[in-house]
Amino acid sequence: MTDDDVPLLDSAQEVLRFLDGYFPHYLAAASAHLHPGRPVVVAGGGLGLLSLLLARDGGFTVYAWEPRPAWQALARTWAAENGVQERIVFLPAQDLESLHRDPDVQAAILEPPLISLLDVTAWWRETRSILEWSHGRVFLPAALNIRVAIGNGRRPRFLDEEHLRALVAHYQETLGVDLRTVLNEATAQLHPRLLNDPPPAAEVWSEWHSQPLDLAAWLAEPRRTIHFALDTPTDGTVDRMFLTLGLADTTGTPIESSLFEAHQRLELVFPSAVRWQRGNPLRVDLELGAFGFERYSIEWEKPVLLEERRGALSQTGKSVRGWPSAPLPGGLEHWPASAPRFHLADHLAMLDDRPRIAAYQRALQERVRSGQRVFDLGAGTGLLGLSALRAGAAHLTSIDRDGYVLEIARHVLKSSGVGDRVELRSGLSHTLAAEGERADLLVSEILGDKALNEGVLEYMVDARQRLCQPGATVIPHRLEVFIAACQSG
Amino acid sequence: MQGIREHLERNLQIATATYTSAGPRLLTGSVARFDPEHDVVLSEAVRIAQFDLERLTLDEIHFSRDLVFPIVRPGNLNAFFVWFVAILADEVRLTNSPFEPRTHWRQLRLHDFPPREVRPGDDVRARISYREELTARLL
Repeated sequence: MTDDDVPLLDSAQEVLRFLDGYFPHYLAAASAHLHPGRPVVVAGGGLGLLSLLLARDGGFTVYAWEPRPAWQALARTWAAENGVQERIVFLPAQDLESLHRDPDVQAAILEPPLISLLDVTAWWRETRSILEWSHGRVFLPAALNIRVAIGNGRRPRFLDEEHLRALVAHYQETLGVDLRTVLNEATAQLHPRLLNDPPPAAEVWSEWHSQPLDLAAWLAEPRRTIHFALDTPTDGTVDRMFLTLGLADTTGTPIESSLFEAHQRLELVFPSAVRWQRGNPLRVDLELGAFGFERYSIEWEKPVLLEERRGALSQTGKSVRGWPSAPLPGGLEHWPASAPRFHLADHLAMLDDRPRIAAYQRALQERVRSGQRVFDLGAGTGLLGLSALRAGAAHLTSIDRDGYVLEIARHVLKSSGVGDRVELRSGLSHTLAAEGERADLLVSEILGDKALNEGVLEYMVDARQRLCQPGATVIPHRLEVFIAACQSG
Repeated sequence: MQGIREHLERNLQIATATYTSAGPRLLTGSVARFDPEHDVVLSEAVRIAQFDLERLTLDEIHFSRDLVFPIVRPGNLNAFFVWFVAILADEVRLTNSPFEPRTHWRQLRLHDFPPREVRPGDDVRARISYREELTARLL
């Protein structure tokens, strides 16, 4: 093993905790439907347990593909201990194309954690070479069972009322910002992204309906629409669709895997709440493309009431449409797979950190000169930039890689009456072109728990050198890192 | 499945024991909050690095240096805690030091190595490096 593999031992323990039902099911299905005399490929072998079972108990010759050296080393050890090292051949992590294909390979078996309907790009990148190497024959899982239902939920709460009141009072006092209004406004718009936080209490109204998705066929032709017909037993209001994935074998029998299913539950919040009466069936279309699940649309047979999030019933209609995630601010149609994850709770923790806010406010009051141009790197909710303007800055450019939190910053700055002196940019600062007037002062709070993570040094140096005047003031202007030997726990 | 679980657990123990008995090695890092109820500082705090952010250049960021930790308290050394001090203005500093008022930041804990009994007067040596992240290796 190498140094880089150390954390994998922890991951192995994690897998052990999740050890669940798919191993024996995979073995039973392989024994029933495949020829023991012909080899199989196991992709994403992890700890090698499935390969071990197929070789030791199923009598198969196994080509195992697991690119992480530490796990492959464990798998080799166990194969040897079980006397099946001759029947498990470890494939190289890369350059499979240059390796001679075994024409006898009868199927590729995919470990469930490799599969994701939401990020097929990553999955495809990992498994394409394996599938090609095994002549495109996928055996397990043969299909994904896609299950949908509609229902409603309530907005998650991040802070208790008393705590929130204290926080709001603090911001009113120190910055004159009505934090509650700002956060309410922002969360109303940002609600779909909040699904990345712990799920709110939610209630399913309709029955679950399931459709199989043949995996080999889907990989051959990714673009397709899957239809569901749903009904609901009662009158009511719904505002979201629930979607889960399950695994199935060649007979359509579900394969239980808590490891897989724990990561395959989605709640898709509609742009409007929908009120309808029973006896109004609906049709759900899920559109799949080369990058996974791309969009959904729901159409009712009869008109329904579409309720804006603010409350009043506003219109009747028959359909709602949406994406797995909400559209990006700025009109981008799809939320890219690489988009940063928005966690409002994280930002609230930062807002709630009084020493942090007080230190930055004091530093800005001391160091900002009247009329300066300020660059806020990692703007977050915009309060440092607002403090800079209140301290005398003439103009503020704020950038954050998270377009959603930047929308909160937009509300904060606009509602504070400084919106006309602000330029907001979404993205990473090192991709910004050095054009226009350079800043006189760089302020940044991208410090992380690990002292030097979040690329604090690299981003700050790059921004100071390219986007600021020579000799610009920098906050913080010095960063020191300390360490001590400890007895822990 | 019970047999498989036992098999996995036994082999993980073997693999972990084999690994931790190896020579100088990289310490695993994770984010943790220093807990004065259960965590004890055994050495003087040692400054790893100091960056002047108004002059620093990109090629001065990465480093690897050997540090000595003078032990001041007896105990079972099994972790290192790392924290930052950011100087915002002349009299304004912000830190996630475990010895200062608590902030929303936790600390970096470097751990996962065989514990070592230490006494005042001992010197522990480690190589601290930074490339994409901060790492430590006991010497």
